[in-house]
Amino acid sequence: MRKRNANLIRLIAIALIALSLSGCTLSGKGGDYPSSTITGVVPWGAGGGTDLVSRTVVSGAQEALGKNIVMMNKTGASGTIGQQYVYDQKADGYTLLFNTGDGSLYPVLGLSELTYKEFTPIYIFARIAGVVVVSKDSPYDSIDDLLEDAKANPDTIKMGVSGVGGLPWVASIMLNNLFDTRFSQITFDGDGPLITALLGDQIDVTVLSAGSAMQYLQQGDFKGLAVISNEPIDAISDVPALGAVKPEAQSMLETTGPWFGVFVKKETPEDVVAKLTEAFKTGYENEEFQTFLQTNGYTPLGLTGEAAWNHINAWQSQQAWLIHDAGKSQASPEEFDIPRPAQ
Amino acid sequence: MSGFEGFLIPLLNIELLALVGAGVFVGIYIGAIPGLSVTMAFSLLLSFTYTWDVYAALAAMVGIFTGGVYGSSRTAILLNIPGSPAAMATAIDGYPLAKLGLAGIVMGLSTVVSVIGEFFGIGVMVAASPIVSALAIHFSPYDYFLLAMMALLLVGSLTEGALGKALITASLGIVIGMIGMDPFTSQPRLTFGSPTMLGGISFIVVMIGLFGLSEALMQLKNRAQPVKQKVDKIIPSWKLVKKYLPLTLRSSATGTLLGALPGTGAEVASLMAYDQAKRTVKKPSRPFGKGAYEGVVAAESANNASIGGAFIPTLTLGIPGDSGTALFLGALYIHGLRPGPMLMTGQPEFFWIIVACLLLSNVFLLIFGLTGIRIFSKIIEIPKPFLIPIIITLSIIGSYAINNSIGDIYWMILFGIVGYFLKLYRYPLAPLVLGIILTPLIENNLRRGMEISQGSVGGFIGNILNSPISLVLLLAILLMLSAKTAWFRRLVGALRPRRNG
Repeated sequence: MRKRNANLIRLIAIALIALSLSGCTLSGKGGDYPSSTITGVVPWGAGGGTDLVSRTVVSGAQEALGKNIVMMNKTGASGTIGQQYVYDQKADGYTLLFNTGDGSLYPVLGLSELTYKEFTPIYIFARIAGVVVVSKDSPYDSIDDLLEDAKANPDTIKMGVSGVGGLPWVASIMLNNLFDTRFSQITFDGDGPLITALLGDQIDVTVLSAGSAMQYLQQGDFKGLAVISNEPIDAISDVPALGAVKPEAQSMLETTGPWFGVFVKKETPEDVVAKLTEAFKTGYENEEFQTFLQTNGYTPLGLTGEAAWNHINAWQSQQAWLIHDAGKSQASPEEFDIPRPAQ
Repeated sequence: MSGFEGFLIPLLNIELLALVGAGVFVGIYIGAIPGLSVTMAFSLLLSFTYTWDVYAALAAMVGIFTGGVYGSSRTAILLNIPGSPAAMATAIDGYPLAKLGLAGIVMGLSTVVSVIGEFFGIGVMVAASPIVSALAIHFSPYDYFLLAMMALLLVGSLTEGALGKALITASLGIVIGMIGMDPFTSQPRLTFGSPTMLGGISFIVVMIGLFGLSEALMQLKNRAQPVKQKVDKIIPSWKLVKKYLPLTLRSSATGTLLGALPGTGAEVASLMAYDQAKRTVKKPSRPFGKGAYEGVVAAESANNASIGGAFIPTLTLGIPGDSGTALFLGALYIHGLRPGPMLMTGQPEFFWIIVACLLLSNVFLLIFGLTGIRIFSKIIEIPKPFLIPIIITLSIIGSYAINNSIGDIYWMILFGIVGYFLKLYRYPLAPLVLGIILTPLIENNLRRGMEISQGSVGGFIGNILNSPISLVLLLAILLMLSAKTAWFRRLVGALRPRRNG
């Protein structure tokens, strides 16, 4: 018995050594990129907005690359953990970061020092506009009704938000700044809980991403008062764009709305960046991806290189200063060389 | 396509049938590994099923979901290590039963009541989806706050012995639950300036450490001989099932409702049902905590019943009932569907396909559940020099897999050591995990409620008294509290003879 056990243990030991050795493959070098599987890091939960956009575009991009991109969700702390993880990897193009605009605000929120300055944007796919929605029984029929009441009775209208810096929070601060209104903010955990709260009359009004709001608008459960953008959205064309109703908001609305993009670490070799850009361009132009954007209410962007940087920087300075001026920042955007947006 | 045609699709298609079966099988075994949760299995499957046909993806996912919720009870019973938090309540009475050599019987019983519970949940889903979802929607932040407070009273139920020790571990859990970013303002709390603590500590990591690793350490210390398991009678007799049927149905009802509430899932459902059983069953087969069949029956029927419940708001409103159904919704998006109220009216066949898959998966659950037990029971008889390294390896894999994070492994080891000493000095562990799970529920809803009442405590209480749901919950809490006091017992004692006479 004892002897058999000893043999068994030896066998297990050999198997374990073999197993651990199989992990030590040689990492690919230089010109033949990509020579192995690429990891795509999503710092947000599986099934969420960033995750869905990324996974959909990746299916086209990996075909163009000829190697699989394995998606991995590394969540927590508003995406800082996933972003830090990619930063800690080698700048060889084998680890991609799929993140949103939030990735440029971490220092201002006091969460992390890391911004997109340390990364190179490969491609920015799309952004999503917010829609101001109220329940079907609400007394407000237009954005003017809502804004007038919010001005006349400050702090009484319950606006559902999803935490500092989230889409509804930014929208309500923007409305406050532009139209001198004051909403009473009630915090929920995101679009799903906000929809529940509006259906259950826990709140009076909220701002949902166009994709989440669409069905409830089409079904008649909610009334859409305005799209937080300069252009209306095709799928819900009867909801007016805020920029059209209120021209004074137009300049502010140009860059508003969460966006989704893919990044690599800054020191990544140029030829790798070029290959990835080409692949994600294919993924972006893929008909399936475009249909996905269309049916889910996203606004296609398709930015790369300098255009991508312009979008990131404009968005960053607008958001950072909104947060700072509302007294919710940990440090002034000035400390991180984020210029105040031109009014 | 009509709903009925949709219902028939999975029943008539051999490929879908096989996928449901395979899903259940995989789910049971993934669920049985601590840390490898249904949620994780889902997110892995999401990448695989991307190119699949949508029906096939649905079939596989429903199967995994059902199997996973059930499978987590296996290791809870056999090793005192719950595969997921949903089986924490199962371990309380299941493990003592395994130590008596009755693992086979209790696993058989748990399979049967799981299946009954899930049928109950599916029944409610089919018959009363609109009613239940309307009720769930009207739960306000106040109600969630009260519900979470009620769940906190479970601390008393999860303990044998000193309540003071249970309160200490529960408070520790609440403190751990607050580590990380403030959910409302994103400010770091209790992170000591460390960026790795910003994301907080996952309760699953804590659970794996406290139950998994510490159990391995404990067994190293005790060196108890494995108990020979009786495996001759695995399928429970009809008499036994019938005896526990009323309790099974009662726990299933609790499980279905809690599953249907967005924000509470199988873990809260099974704990609540366990507590309910402990309060209401006067003469359990053995004392609760020492191997009462009733404890296992309540927990197991409730956690599987919560599946049907969780699908109710998911499919009728597009609002996930728990983390598993949240991923399910994500998968539907990827397959080009738009889950939500429009899905029910525009494409009712999807509702019925899911119902059919759930029913099928339940049948497979009964088959795979009962056939695997004989082999599974042998796990407990594996000699310790082999078993302990396996437990430790699985604990490490499980804690890493949750978030692909090495840091989580260190937390797991830390909590494993903490758990060892807590066990040594007879501090109960379940309240600690309960504290972590409930902290966000209590905190967020309390703060949300205060925001709604514009920061006024009077307004907060006023709003509770004004809503019928809140009032019922408040009265239930007061009743639960006063039932423990001496004057209440005197009052009941004074009333009883009169009623008899």
